[in-house]
Amino acid sequence: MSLEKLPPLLALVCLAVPGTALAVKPGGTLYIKAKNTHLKASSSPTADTLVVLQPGKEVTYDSREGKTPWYKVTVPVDKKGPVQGFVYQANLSVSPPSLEVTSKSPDKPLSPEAFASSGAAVKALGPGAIAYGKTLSRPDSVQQLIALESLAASIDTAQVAEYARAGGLPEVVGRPQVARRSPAKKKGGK
Amino acid sequence: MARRQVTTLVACLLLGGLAGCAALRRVVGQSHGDLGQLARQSEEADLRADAMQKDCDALKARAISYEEENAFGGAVSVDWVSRGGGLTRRTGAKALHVQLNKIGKNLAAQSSRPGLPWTFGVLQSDGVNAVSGPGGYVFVSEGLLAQLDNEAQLAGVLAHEIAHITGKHAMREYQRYLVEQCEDGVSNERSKPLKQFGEDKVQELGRAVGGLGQMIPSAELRGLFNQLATQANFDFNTLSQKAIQAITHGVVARLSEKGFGEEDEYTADTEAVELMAAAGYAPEEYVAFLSKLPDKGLSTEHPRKDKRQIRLRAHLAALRERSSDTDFLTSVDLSQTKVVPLRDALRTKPAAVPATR
Repeated sequence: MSLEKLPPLLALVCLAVPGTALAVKPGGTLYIKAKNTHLKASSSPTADTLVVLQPGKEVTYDSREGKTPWYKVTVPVDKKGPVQGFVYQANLSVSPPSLEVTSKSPDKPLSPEAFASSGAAVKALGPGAIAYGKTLSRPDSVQQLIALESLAASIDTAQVAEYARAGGLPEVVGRPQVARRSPAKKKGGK
Repeated sequence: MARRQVTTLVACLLLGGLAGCAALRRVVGQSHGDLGQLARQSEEADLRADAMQKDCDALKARAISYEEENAFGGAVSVDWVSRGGGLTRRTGAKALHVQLNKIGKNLAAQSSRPGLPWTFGVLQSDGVNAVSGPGGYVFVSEGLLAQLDNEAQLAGVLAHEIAHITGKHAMREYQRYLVEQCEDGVSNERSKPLKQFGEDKVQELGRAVGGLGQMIPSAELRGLFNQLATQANFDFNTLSQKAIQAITHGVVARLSEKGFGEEDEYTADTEAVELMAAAGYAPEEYVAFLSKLPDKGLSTEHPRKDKRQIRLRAHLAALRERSSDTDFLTSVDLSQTKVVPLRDALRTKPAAVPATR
């Protein structure tokens, strides 16, 4: 395949003009890309969080805040109606995340959110891999990998966000809960 | 009888060519009874082969479930750990793994498969390597960590491996391997009656050399491909140990020898710089770090580094041009990226703990 001339040529064209074919104008649909994306009350990382969104959620692109990496979007949150707020550029995508095919619903691929709650994403080295690992030159690799999986599973999004913040990086993966709510958005607020 | 002889002759020509038919000339010298038995066996073998070919065709189009990907990925990953000398035993190994998983999970959460249970580990190997296993396993070597100037470079390497997983590049190799093995099985099945005549030339028919066919009995092999082709909820873990061993070893050996395709590597590179930028890391650091990579690593022979760097610089230049548009074009904003220095466990010089085994 790689020897054929056309695919590499097409790939080069696509590389030269990234995103051209997928430009979304104001009023168009964008998708939430990162886990625990915070919809902010204003275009600042320290602004109040209105709601926490998950990958695959559709939002309407309203406008860009000047030349900043903040985009004003409208989100259909619940029965109360849509909420407008600001999302960091890195958390948005022109295309939805990949759907996952699971053995329980092979004909109906799951969104990232449905996949997360399906229980399929709970990783543990399977019996096939364990038996295979015991035939390798370093059979202790099996126990090492099981321990590593356990360690990885213990690291949550709050720790990931904290680490990013400590390094001066944007907190793209946010905390799972709304830490504070803007008083202006509270129903019956003073 | 004449019809059977013709069938055998045609099979001989198709499978063995003219040289192979030297075998038939000797066969023809045998009794009509023997020849009749050969023709009958050929017809039966053809029926089995035709059924198997249908499974091979179905195999090409099947959707692989996450569970199968994860089960196979676990086997591949335990193989990488073994080949990489085991996981790191350096001082502060746990703190290093915690930090690596924070960096990796931050990147992976922004990928197109944010919901996978991602696992990041450090291999003891002194070589400058990074590898991945389907389902969300990423490994870097101690040798690679020793070459890092900053955290952005590590983020780039991790993001490249993440992109191989989100792009399901290894799963495509797995699928391709299974289809090839299935088709080898079909050829083998068709030639089996001739092989049983014990003719040296005939025994060379087909191309089933060093594959599943040599490790798994043909009946089990047919059953395996039938399962793969027909069961929507196929469970990799239910395969026999020999089958898991043969498939995993076959795919890992292929990845070690040939690596991913050139286009898969370029795709992983461009995805890597976008993931880096989305997380706030300066992608130019990854482009620079490519110079430190060997031409051949633990797993793959990548395309030439200079070609990769040229393509990445062109990609980044195009992203910069587009970043000021009013339309939403990309998640990437290069103006917000930075070089993060090495910190915490990554700053600690490795002091290996002697192996206990």
